[in-house]
Amino acid sequence: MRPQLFIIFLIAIIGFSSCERLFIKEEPQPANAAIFDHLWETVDEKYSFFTDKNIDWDSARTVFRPKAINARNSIELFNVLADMLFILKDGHVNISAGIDLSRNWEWYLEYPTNFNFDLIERNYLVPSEDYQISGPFHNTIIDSVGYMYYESFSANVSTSLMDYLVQKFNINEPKGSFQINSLEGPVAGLIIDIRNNGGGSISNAFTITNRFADEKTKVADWFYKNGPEHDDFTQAEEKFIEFEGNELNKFYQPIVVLINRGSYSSANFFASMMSFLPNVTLMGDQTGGGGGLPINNELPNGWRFRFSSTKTLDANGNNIEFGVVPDIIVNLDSTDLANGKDTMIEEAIKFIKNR
Amino acid sequence: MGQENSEFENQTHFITGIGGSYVNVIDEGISPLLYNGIGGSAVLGFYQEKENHVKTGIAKFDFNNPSSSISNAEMYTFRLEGHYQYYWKIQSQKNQKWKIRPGLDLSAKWALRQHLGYTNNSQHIETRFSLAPAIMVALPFQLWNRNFEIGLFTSIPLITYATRPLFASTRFSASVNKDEVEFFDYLKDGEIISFGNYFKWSAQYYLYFPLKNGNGLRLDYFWSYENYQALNPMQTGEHSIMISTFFKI
Repeated sequence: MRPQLFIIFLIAIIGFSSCERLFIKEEPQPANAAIFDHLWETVDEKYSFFTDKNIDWDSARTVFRPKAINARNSIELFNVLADMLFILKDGHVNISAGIDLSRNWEWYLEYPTNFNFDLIERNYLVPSEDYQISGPFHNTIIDSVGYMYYESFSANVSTSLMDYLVQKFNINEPKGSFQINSLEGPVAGLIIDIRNNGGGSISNAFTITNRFADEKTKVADWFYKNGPEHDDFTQAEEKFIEFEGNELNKFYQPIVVLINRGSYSSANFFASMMSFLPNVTLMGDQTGGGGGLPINNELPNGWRFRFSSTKTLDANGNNIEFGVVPDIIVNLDSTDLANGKDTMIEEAIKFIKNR
Repeated sequence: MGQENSEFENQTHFITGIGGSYVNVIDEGISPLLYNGIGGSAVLGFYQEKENHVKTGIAKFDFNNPSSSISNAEMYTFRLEGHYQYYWKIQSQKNQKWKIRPGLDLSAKWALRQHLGYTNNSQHIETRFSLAPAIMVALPFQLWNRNFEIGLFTSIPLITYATRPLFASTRFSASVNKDEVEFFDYLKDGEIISFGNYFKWSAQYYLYFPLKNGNGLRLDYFWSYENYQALNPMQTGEHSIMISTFFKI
């Protein structure tokens, strides 16, 4: 072949080398229809609870697509997309734009609050000589019962911190020697309060649960969406809990986990997992739910959205998307509140001391 | 490199190089938006030239920090790519100025894309193993009484084994039901792909300057375009410019 042909060949290849942007394109100002379609299709193919919630997503497209196309500005478009996502009835579903965050918070707003941290702080924590804030845990001893409040599973928990807390509640040293609490012996039991805990990292839920577990125990099956059809899921991924921590200091006394409708997502997982321990009782109101791991995506106009892409059945086959039911239902009593008492804490103490 | 005289034949060189890189990425498992940005590259390898063939192997690492001009979100991309290439010398071209060498390119690639704004699906990993016909074109020349060589290596895979995460997760199907994800889980349950749903074109252009002691310096420009029509389609365009040293071993 003649040199000139090679030169042409080289120039052609170099030219093509710089042109991949011809094929890798994005629309700088996407049409409303393109934005709507990406959202609808992504959720259609990847959202995990259509069947469980019996949602007619095709009908949602019919209703909302014309509205999205006719939206005159980004605020109107945002509101249309938010209204469509609202029908998923899922606290893990949001669109985040600079102007607003869409949300469906019916899972707790339609129910009693059943929580007042100010009351707990003023009447239970601060007056106690055992009150500490250990990492993310407000903890103390109330009437010889250990109490720890965990506000968010986003706050990291380590096994060594859990070892410390169990030691604080479990220690049985003679008075006058080494003491890290005001008691002369171990606590009668422990209250773990996760009311109004909206979730966070699931790994923190496992770290805490494993510290109170004993033998390896199956607690759940997770299913990952692996295809575009509404029922395309992987085989079950079995989830287990098993003791992790200082073997010399396990906690066998009764544990009451306080829950309310504000206990969501990782708090919901935590309540479900703890319920499989023999010394644990769930008390309060049903959790808010949130049984799918949410994943993120972006719309062609740069707005971010998230939605659930897995589903979880507990070891008894219950879908925890709809919440975990307490063993003992307790609501805050207005008279107790007026007297500075948290009905759930009081009932939990009674329950533990009577066991 | 391809100097067709006895001084440069039957030589093996150890290659080390560093440079800068630039990527364009649309990975619809992450976002429909185009992410692009700069980063750095490093390369290690060897280059062996014998009477009848040329063999070269490289391991190339790239790190980039692409962002979206629409969402202003950022990601990190980490790529480790290995190539083993074998080219046959065509004896009839021995005395010709231009050298064309047909060959094969065996390659493996591991890539991690970490979106900095996501939570449960921030890290996407993928792997590729490809077999590609390849061509090496070389033109030795003299300038200022010094020997140089320009040329290119280019390849288009015929067949590729590819793995991607689950459709709506960053988990791999082989790691479902495992407490600890093992390295080989990222390599299992992939698919064999070819033209129609997978296209990749790689090219490497070089300017080589042999030193008198048998060592050399090479300036490279790497480019590749990849289009994979998987359940979550993805496209990438990758560029890097590198300066490499060739040590005779």
